[in-house]
Order: sequence, then structure tokens, then C-alpha cells
Amino acid sequence: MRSEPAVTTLVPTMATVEAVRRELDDTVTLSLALSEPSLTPTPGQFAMLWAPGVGEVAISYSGVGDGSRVDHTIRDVGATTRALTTCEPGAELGSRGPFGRGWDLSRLPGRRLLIIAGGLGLAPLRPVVEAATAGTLGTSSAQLLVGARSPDAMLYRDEISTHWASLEPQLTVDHATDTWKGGVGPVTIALGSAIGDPATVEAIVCGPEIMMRVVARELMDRDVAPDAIQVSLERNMQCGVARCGHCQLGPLFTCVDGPVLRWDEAEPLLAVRER
Amino acid sequence: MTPSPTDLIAELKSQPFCRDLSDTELAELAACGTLVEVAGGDQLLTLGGPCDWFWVIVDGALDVSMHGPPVGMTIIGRLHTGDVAGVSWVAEPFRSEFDLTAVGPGHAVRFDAREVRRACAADPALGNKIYQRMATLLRDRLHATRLQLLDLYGGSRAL
Repeated sequence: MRSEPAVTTLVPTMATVEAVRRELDDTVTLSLALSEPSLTPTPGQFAMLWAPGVGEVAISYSGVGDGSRVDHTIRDVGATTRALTTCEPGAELGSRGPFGRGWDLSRLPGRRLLIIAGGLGLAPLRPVVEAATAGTLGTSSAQLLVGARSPDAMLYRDEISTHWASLEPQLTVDHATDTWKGGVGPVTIALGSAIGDPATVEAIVCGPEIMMRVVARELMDRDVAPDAIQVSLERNMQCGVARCGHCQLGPLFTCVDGPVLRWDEAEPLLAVRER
Repeated sequence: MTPSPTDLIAELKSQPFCRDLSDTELAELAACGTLVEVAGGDQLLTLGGPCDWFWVIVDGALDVSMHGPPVGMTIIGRLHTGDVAGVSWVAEPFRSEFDLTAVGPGHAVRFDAREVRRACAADPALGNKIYQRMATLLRDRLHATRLQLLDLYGGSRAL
């Protein structure tokens, strides 16, 4: 049965922008201090961020903090995200959340974790990557695979090469420069050497939908079970509490039943062609 | 030091491209190959030039690239240990459509493509296996290239 969200999730908590870190030309990470502590988000959950006078948009947590301090990595793709990505430290925003079902970390102990990201899909995975680096997930091993359009479009490159180096990151880009040291091609080219024993693999995948589909199929071709693959779906989240129906995907409301789904749940829904 | 034919067969046995070949077939293939060392920057194939060779990478990496205006030099793919480099040898006009350049020092088994085609014609069972492997490899590279064309990561996801 679907759990009912608290009514207070409809009222934004005000938040102060404590820091702004530019990640890419069109992407920043905002560190927010919430005026009232929320529930500590689970990695993979999202908040509805409100730019006063402009609008509200669903943004995943890229740092889960303790419920009073959180990070969001945001790309400028429209009016609301432009208002958010041009915030200065000290600016006031609204935040509702945390919403949705995050990554199922209870499946990870004793397993080989593959964290597979495409483009900005690395943002919702960042808390998992940090936990894996800290060794708090109980996995037998973990590896990070990241695909991006080009080296300049690779999110968190400094962290990947320093703090996350223990995850033996495999980086691929579609368009390389001659100074690029990683792979060239889709992120799937790195899977072959990463899987090891497929029976032990738990893969968490986030990126554009086509990328997740291709990765999931490649994993299954290599004998990883569909229920050992978790993906994060992006839909038009608006209310965050399964009332407005904008994010409905078949029988599911992505804002409450997702955004994270197992591949055996997601695949039949994604196979339905949009009209 | 030049490796003995036995060393070369042992090396080929460990390569995915040669998986499940019989000892006889491995020996036939090894007779067309040589273990070579490459240095960073070595150009193995040239855009528009003949594709008389192909390589199975033992260690190191090779870039498949193209150059020309307006983009200049573009790296299209990077091949690593176990990959086959050079595919234009399978069909006429046996002309390379890309540059193939060593990223750094490494080793590869270099095959004389004409000799391999001759061996495949003389032993149809070997030929069937080799051309099937090349077809699989070409399919996989076509899929990868199509994914690159989709510009997967440039979507509207704001997160």
C-alpha cells in the first residue's frame, strides 16, 4: 500500500543558499541551509525547489547532509532552473521534501556495486558514491562508471580523480580531445571489464532514459539479474505527493513510487511508446 | 626479442577474438601474425590509406580518429586490451577510413590481412569463425556509434 505523505510536504521550508559551486558552464551545485530541519533524505530522493516569483522544480539531492543542510546540483534548462542556477550565496529559496523512493541501499551488503552514471545522472548518485568511498555500504567491492558528452561536460571531475579514486572510476566520453586519458564511446564499453561475477552485481544507474535502457540491456546480456538493476526515472513531478498526476507512469506515480525503480518494474512501463 | 610461434599461439589463446579456435586454427592464424611493440604517437593506419593490417591489442590503447574541417582532429573511439583494431581489411576496397594511432606504449599482435584472407579462403571453417567475429565486432561498433550520434547525455534533465 502506498504510504501517505505528511500534509506539511505541501508547504515549502525556506532555505538559505550557503554556497554556490560552478560545476559546468550551465550547471551549479547549491548548498542549502534549511530554516527547519526536514527528514534526512535518502540518496536518490528529490526535493521541490521553489525560486520565489518564478516557479518550482523537482531536483534530486546531490548531498544529503543531516536534513538541515543539503546539496542540489542543477542544470539551467528553463526559467526556474535559470533562477536557481544564478542564485548568489545568501539568497532565499523554498524547499519541499524529501520525496519519493531513493536507491535501495539495503540490497548492497556483500555485493559488488556498480554505480553507472550518464551526464548529469551522476548528481543523484553522488551521495551513494560518497558512501561507497567511505566504505559504509557494506559492499564487497564498488566501481564507478561515468559517461559524458565530452571531458568538459564531465560532472565532479575533481572529486572523481581525488576523493573517489578508490572506486577505480571508468570514464568515457563521446567526443574526446587528444589529452583525454579515459575511454571514448558510450558508457557501456566499460561494462565488460567491470562486471566480474554477474551473480554478485547490484547496479544502480542514472542518466537519460535511453542510456539507462541500453545499460540495463547490456547488463542483462552479461547475466546480471533485472531485479539487481536500479534506475532513476525522470518525469514531470509537480506536487510530489501523488495528487496531481503529472508524473504518472502506467499504474505508478513516479514522485511517490519512484523515482528509483528496479529494472524489472521499470522496463515494461518504459516499453510503452509515448503518443 | 622475437617471440616463438608457440608464444604467439599462447598469446592469441588468451585473446577474446581467438576464443574457441582449435589448436590448428590458432596455428593457421598465428602464421599470419607478429607480436609488435608500439610507441605513443605511432600511426598504424592512415585515413584513405590501404588497410593491409589489423591488430589485436595485447596491452595499451589505440585511438580511431578522423581529421578535417571544421572540427579538426576528432577521436571517434579508443580501443583497449583485447580489442581488434582495423576492420576495413574484411571487404574491398581494403581502404582505411580512419587514422589509427597509439595512445602510449603497448604491444599488439599485427596480422597481415592478405595472409588472413588467404587462410580463411583455404580453410572455410576458420574463415566462417573469423568473419563471424568480425561481423559481431562491426555490429557492436555500429551500435556504439549510433549511441554516440544520439548525444545521450545532452538531454534536458535538470536534476
